[in-house]
Amino acid sequence: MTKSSKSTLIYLSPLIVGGIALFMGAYAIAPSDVLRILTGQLAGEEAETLKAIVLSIRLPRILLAGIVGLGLSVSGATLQGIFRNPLVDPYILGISSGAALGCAVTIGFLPWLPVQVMAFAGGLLAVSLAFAMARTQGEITRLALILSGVIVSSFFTALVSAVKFLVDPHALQNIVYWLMGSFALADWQMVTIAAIGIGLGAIPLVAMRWRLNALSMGEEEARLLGVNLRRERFIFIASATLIAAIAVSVSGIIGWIGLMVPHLVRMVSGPNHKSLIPLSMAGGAAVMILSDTIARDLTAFDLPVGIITAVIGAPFFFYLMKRQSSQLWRG
Amino acid sequence: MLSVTGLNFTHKSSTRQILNQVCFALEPGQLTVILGPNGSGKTTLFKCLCGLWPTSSGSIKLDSRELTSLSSAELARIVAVVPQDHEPPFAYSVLDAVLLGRTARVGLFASPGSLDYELAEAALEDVGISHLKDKPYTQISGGERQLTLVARALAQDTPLMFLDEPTSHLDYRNQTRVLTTVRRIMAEKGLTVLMTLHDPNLALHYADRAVLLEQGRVYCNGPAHEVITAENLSRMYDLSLEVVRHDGGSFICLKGAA
Repeated sequence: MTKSSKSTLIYLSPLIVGGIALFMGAYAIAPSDVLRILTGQLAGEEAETLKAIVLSIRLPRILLAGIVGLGLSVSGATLQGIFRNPLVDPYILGISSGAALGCAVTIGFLPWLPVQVMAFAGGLLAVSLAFAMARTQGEITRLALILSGVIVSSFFTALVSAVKFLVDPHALQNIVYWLMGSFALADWQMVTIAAIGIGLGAIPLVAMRWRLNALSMGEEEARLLGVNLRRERFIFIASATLIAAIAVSVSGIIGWIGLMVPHLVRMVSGPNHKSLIPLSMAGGAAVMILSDTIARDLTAFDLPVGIITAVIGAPFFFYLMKRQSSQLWRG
Repeated sequence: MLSVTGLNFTHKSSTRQILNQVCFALEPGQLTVILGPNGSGKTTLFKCLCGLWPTSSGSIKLDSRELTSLSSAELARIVAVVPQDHEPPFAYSVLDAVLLGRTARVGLFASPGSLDYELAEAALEDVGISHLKDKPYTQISGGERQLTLVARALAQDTPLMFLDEPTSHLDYRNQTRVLTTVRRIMAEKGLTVLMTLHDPNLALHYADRAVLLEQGRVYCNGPAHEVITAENLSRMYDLSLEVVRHDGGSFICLKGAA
């Protein structure tokens, strides 16, 4: 298969996986009925229930999983490029925990505020801290950045626990359920929020994607090539953070997707960000829909999808670390 | 062209003056080499001239404009810098690496167009490594990688080219290959070239002009064969050196070694 036909396949994969996922679910609906619901041909007493399941439960859930998967992957690909470090993503850098703290604080203490505001603020704070900590000695080394991410992540996770401890039981229940990382609560309103927020963050990333190649050469070299380092780096990091924060605000913490997908795409189409960014978006959507479909159909319970991605992602990280160890420890 | 006057440099939170009243100018169309022992301030001077490090005082002028008044994009349209060999984080193809030279000309929200591709391919042709264009940049030899960086600088399409110790990681054959290529291209395109070098013989062989740097001061500055002499180098490196002439060429070597 040629490189371009592989790329085409990746672009089509969300539609293929999403289409198949519509036919799967805990409530058995005949495939012929699903087709008739989609084309608006199913009528009758029982039809309303079936329609509700397909159009108000399965479809928004698949779309939300797709949008969040797209977002986390493009965010991961961007952060890997900016920090010239193939082992980071919003989760590793602590952005997800920062956003989670923002969400928990909002649910617990500021119920009048949209969760996305504090999620974004928390994410920005986390990434700034990780960046500042890793930067203590000039250029950021790979290992220092990952360690800073671990520190930031555990710091914010501890603060989330503190919030859980302080809030009333009802809010606690909400926070715990939502933190597990799941699309079980998906509805059309969440789909709209995710589409707008993640869309806003993704526009600059797509528009400026070629420049990530120059930024990935390191700070000094990017400047020598004519990059306005501070401005462009800020746009990339802020956009990637916005996307990750919105993702956390609608579906909790789902790790590893943003790490894995860009690698899988690089294996197929090479590291040039011009193609890596859009392909990561498509691939991320497909992988997340697939993971969520496995999560909701593997057992009779609706498993949080974060469990599935972590079970696949952690060994994947180990594999990457082994493969790149010589470079990684040299910094 | 580039002219430097009264340049001083001191690191923040340090009193040691790294560069002290450095003055020199580049001659158009000539290759100038900065030569000096380790710790002479060569690297610092290079970083200042590239606009990476802010100078403490003094002035660096490009034509009539002060270097510090230029944005990084403006500077990148005047000066192309060839960095020392480096390990890129991702395995970009050689052609993609050369295309990076177009960064200052491609719009913020754009990708390289057909003109950019033409210039990049022509630059690869110029340095003689067109056959490598689809190879991953991480899997070519050090000499080829240095040539890729030269091609990237050519694609940048600037009147000035600065090279930071372009031979430091290369074997003898590749040192010659890179410097001969640079020499040929600068003649073809009428470029003005500045480079730092370690090896006085390479400097003597390839440079038109030389700036000798000692403890942050310009010790000597002028045509290469007048400046790179046994007396000057013996003092600068604290060695006893002599010039050996053979077949019309001059070579610097340790006294008694030839």
